[in-house]
Amino acid sequence: MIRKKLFRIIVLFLALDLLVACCCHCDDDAFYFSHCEIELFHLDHAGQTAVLAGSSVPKEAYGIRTRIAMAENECAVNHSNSFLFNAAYATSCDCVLNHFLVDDIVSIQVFTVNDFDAEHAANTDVSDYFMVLKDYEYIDLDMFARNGANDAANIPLIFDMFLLTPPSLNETHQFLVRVDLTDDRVLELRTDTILLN
Amino acid sequence: MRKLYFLLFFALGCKLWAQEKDYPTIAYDRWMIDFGVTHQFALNDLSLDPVTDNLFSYGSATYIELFSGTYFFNQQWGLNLDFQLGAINDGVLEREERFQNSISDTFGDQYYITKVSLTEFGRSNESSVIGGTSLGLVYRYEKARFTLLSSFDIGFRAFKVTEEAFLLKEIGTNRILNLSYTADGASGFLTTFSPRAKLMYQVKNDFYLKLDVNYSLLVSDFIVLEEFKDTVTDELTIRRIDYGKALHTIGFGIGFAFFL
Repeated sequence: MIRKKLFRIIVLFLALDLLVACCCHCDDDAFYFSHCEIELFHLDHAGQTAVLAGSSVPKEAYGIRTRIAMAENECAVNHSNSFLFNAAYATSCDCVLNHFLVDDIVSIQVFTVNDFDAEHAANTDVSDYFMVLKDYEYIDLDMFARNGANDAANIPLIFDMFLLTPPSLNETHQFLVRVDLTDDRVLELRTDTILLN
Repeated sequence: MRKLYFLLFFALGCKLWAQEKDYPTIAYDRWMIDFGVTHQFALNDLSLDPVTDNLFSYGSATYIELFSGTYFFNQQWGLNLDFQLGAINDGVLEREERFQNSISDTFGDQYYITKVSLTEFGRSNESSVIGGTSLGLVYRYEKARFTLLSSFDIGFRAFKVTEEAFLLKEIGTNRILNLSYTADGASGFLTTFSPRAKLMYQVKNDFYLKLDVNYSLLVSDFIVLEEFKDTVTDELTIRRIDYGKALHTIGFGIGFAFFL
C-alpha cells in the first residue's frame, strides 16, 4: 500500500516537473556587450563560396574575414526550471533578446601595409577597394558600419570584406583593419602576409 | 354597307395584330448551357529567344471548356458567355528544366549559378495559369433535329510569364552579378477574337450532342526583360525581348448542351 502511494507521488512529481520544463522562462534582465578583440582571416573567393585561405590567393578573389569578439556583463541563458527534464521539451520559447551594445562601430577602414598601386603607397587607406558581401549584394564599408555592423543580435560580429580592385604593385601583401568605436576606442590588427598572385 | 365591312375588317385586323404582338405564336428556348472538350492546335508559335521562350507555355494545348451559357433574345440571336480552363501539353517542370539548362549553357562556363527567389528582389513569383473567358454574339439556325450556332466571341485568355532570378558568381574572382527575367506589359492575358460554329443534334427533348469548330486570333503584347546588375558598380544591362505577335489557333471539340 505504501509502495503504491510512493509510486503515485513519484509519477505526480515527474508529471509536474515535465510540465514545468515545457514552460518557458525568459530573462528579463538586459545584457550589455562591448566590442573587445579583433581577429582576421584570409579568404579565397575563387570558388562559389569564400573559404579560408592558406598563404596565397588569386588577387581577383581575395577577401578578409573579420571577427570581433565581444564581452558581456553576464551570459544570457534561458534558465531551466526542471530538475530532470531539459527545456528543449518546450514547444516554443519566443524570448525577446535584451541585448544591447555599449559601444557602436563608427567606421571600418582597411590600410595597405605595402605599396598597392600607383595611387596607394604603403600605409594608405584602401577601404574603397573593399566591400562587404551581405545578402548577395556588395555594400561599401561606410554603409556597413552605419547599417549592418551594429546589430546586437550578431554576437560575435563576423563579416567578410572582399577586394574588388586587385593590386598592381607587389605580390606580397599585408593589410591593417581598423575599427573605430563610439567610446573612442580603436580596435586594429594586421593580417598575416599573403601572396596575391 | 361597304363602309361597315371596311370598319369590321379594320377592327379585326387591328385585333389580330394586337394579339400577335402580345402572344407570339412561335415558341423558342431562351437559355442554353453547354459543356465540352476542345482540342486546340496552334497554327504558329511564339518562339523568339532560346532562353526566354521557356518562361511561358504556348503551343498545342487541350482546353477543357468548363461552361458556356447562352441567352437568346429572339429566335435567332443571342449572347454567349464562355469560360475555359486549359491543360498545357508542355509540362511546367520540363519547361523549367529547359530554362535552367539554357541558363547553364549560356553562363555556366564563366559563372557559378545560384537560383534565388524573386521575392528576395522585391517581386512576386507567379505560377502559370491557363484559363479564359469570352463574350460573343450568337446566331441560331434550326433544321429538324439539327441546330447550328455560329458566333463571334471577344475575350481573353490568361497567360502568365514565369519570373526568375539568378546570382552569377564569376569563377576565379569576387565579381557577382544579379540576373533576372521579368515580364513587362500586358502579360496577364492575351486578347482573343474567335469566330466559332457549333453543330448540335437533338437526342431527346432539350438534350443535345454537339460538335464545334473554332478559330482564335490571340494578340500577345508583352516584353520579357533580361537584366544584368553588377553588384559592385550597380551597372545595369537590359535586354528586351518583345513578344508582341498575332497568334492563330484552330480548335475542334465535342460536348453536350441543354436548352432551358
